[in-house]
Amino acid sequence: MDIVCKLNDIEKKYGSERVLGPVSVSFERGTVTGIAGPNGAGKSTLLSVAAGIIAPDSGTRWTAGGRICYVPQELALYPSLSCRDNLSFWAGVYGLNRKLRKSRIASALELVELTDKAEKTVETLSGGMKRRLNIAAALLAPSELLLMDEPTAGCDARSVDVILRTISHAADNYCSVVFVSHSADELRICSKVIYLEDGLAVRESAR
Amino acid sequence: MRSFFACVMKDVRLFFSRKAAVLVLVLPALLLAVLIPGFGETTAARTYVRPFSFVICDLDDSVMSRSLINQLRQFELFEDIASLHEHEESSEWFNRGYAAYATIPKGFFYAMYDMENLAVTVDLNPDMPAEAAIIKSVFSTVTDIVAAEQQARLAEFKVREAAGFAADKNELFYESANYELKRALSRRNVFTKFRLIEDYTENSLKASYATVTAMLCMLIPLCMLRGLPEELSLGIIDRLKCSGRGLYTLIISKYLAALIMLAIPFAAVVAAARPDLPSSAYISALLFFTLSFSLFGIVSISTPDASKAQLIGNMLVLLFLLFGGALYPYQMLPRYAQSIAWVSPVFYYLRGINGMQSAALILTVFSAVISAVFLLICRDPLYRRPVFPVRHCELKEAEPDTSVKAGRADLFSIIWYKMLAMTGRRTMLVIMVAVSAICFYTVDRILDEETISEIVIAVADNDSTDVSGEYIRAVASEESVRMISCKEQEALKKLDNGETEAVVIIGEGFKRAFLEDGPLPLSYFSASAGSASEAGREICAGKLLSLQSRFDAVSRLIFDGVLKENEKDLFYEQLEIAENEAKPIVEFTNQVSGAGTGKAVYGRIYARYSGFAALMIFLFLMSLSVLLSGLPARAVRKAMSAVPGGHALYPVTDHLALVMAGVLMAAAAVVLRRDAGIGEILAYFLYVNCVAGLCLLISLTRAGGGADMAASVLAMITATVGGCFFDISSLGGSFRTISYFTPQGLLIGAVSGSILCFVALAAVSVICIAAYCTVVRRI
Repeated sequence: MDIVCKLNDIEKKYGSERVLGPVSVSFERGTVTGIAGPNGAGKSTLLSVAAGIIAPDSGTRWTAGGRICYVPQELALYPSLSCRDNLSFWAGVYGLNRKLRKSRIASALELVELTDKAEKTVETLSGGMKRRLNIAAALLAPSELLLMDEPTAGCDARSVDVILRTISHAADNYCSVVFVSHSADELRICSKVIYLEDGLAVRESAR
Repeated sequence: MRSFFACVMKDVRLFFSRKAAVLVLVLPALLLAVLIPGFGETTAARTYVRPFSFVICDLDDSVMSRSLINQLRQFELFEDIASLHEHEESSEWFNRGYAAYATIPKGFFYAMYDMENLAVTVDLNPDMPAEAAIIKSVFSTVTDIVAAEQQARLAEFKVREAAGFAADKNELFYESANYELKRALSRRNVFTKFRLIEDYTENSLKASYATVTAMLCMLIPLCMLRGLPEELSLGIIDRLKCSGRGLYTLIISKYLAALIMLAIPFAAVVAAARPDLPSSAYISALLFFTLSFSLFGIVSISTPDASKAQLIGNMLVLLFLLFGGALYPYQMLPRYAQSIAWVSPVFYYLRGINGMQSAALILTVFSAVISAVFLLICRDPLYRRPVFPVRHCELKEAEPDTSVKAGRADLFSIIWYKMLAMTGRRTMLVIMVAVSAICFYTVDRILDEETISEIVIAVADNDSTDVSGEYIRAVASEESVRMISCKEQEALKKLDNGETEAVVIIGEGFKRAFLEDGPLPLSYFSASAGSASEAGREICAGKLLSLQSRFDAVSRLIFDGVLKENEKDLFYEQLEIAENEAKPIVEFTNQVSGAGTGKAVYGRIYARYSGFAALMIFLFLMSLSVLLSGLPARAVRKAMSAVPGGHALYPVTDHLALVMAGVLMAAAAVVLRRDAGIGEILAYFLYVNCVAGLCLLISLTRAGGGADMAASVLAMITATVGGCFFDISSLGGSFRTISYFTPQGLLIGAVSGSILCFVALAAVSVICIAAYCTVVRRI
């Protein structure tokens, strides 16, 4: 398999408290990897290290060099802006060509079933819609690695379904998708699931 | 009752849960601490121009000129009159704080005896417009009186000569010259009654108290209610209903909590200022607070989130203060601003403080109506966030996408959308710039000399005789005066309302006293506003004495049998000829705005244009920067960090987005100023960068999330210390140094051309941005 990101013996401490590692994982192109585990197991930290947001205290991080998109657990959206304006902002961040921007925003909105809400401000959307828009922002530009921290938190069944389809769609586009979830039902779409406990990868199951 | 008090305690705790809220309570007290010793003393200068000094270069050096100078020294208005006998550079004296440099030419009084006038030249200090206006008024009035006496005497001589009555011209002129000076120097005693009517501009401490308490009465309810929609959407009402309470319990508990919060700083301010107020003033404060509470409740309910409610609230606070007459007295506002002042609750509050019952009544009606509207809106379930149903649709078959190539981040897009997110979409951005432009335009008009074109004087003629009528016409003929004739009580009411700057009351028996040269039943009341009252008083006195010169001349002619009662026109024909042939006795040079035209110029302590612009930009940028410390901003920062170069991109675009918003406001300030030079434009640009940098750093602190709550108070206190409202150096050299520790002080310094201030602004900007980038990277 074509590896897009590899973490070797990663360890991270906050003060004297070790929150992660040592842990070694790799993410392959066109696959969906799930990360599961109890609260405080280090799932978000692992994702942040993979995204390059935080530097590990020890260990190495290798990536294939392509674009990495990260969807944080919080909504990385401006509540007072419309869905389209928020996506335009992220298109600018990803450096999308202005000509392409319109069509990419339209297809991202369509993918998360928010086309009819394009001009609505984010603050008027329901929780599930906000989550979907949060993911749509990450799908604007093609990326090699898509990291999502609990993308379905607080969503209803319909929104969860849309989000999971979106994840599968991204994987079909040769993207390696990694997402954190507490739900065994959601993890069923994953080709690999990594279980973390006390910062250590206690189990890794492939499907 | 327990559940009610639990609600009150909850609101008090919620209020204190934000550090910035504590600043709202503490800073006004600090503001007043600065105002009482400094601003209070200096504001006295705006109502009564303090005694000042000027120079007389007495080249004539005659007994008369020395006598004149000695008599001028008796004036309370003049602190020091430096007498020179050789010419010196006027600019050197101006630098030492002298208001004018008058030169009495050699042979001046000798020429006056011959009625061959030599002009006194008066060079006015452009840095002291108020004092210059008074000097101009004093000299103009004195010379008008002298000229009127000269012309009357000359006309009298001509009439006598034509009628064949031999007259010793030299003796007549000599007598005239002596009489002219005596009359001119005693002109201020023509009023038997002279009083400054007490209004809110009169007492500087009261004005400071009014401004600070008005801010408190608006800001505390705003802080308390800004998060009301979020609270309502939590389901609080439903839980209260279960315990037998409801919406009104929540609103009343908030009102009570806000009142408790207000009571603490309000009591501190009253204890510090000890204003001499009627008890109805405190009722006005309560009504004003109730009105503010309801008004900001409506604002809060109608806006999408707390930060937007605070932004709109801050805008309203500024507009109310400006148009209500708290930042600049009502009398100084341009006509259009005066005509819309009634919309501002501050307008009624300031009048209520003075015990005006009509203002208290309007406040009562307004607060009742607004409160009813607020409660009605709260009951409306529309405030709840709408939830839209999720529509099902089939997902299209996915295909690998290799056509889209992502490039480097589009900096402009990021900045533009961040700025929009801060302001709350395009409409809000337009409103913000429009509000700034309106405020800048109004302040520009206030400070523009063209707006202060005339002194409005109301006159009540209780004598209603030909003499009193002629006197009124004489005063009204003065270019800088607009007379309003009305009844005595109405005139005093107009003065109280700020519709007129002075009232002249002509008592019964005026004509008899005038003709018999007895004490005149003439009163002059003034709501002092800068030099207007002084100038008005000078004009009224001067016109009366000029009139007296003519009547005296006619009386002498009739008494000596030269003229009969029906032959007065002969005298007035000669008088007209004499007026046309008269040579000027005084010439003014180096004239300054307003003073040069004899128009009223107000005091020197109001916010200069750059000071007001600094205040507004600071207030708005601080309100906007709150977005940077919110949850969405933190999530965006995290997501952007995963993008190549995202660590640097995030703080830089934060800064540039704030700068772009600030530049829009600064551009409005510069465009409306019209005559701003490159240096001033650069100063504003650096100032915007500096304030944006400071806001970014504040957004990193724990209080950052509530920075918008304290924005108004922080803006006012830094503006005061920074010298936005008055020349801070007048309080002492150390105050000038302290002012440089505020961005506003640096901007004012830079606008006045200080290179050091330019450098300091740039340095502070760079340091703040660097610190913000460093800290953000570590978070």
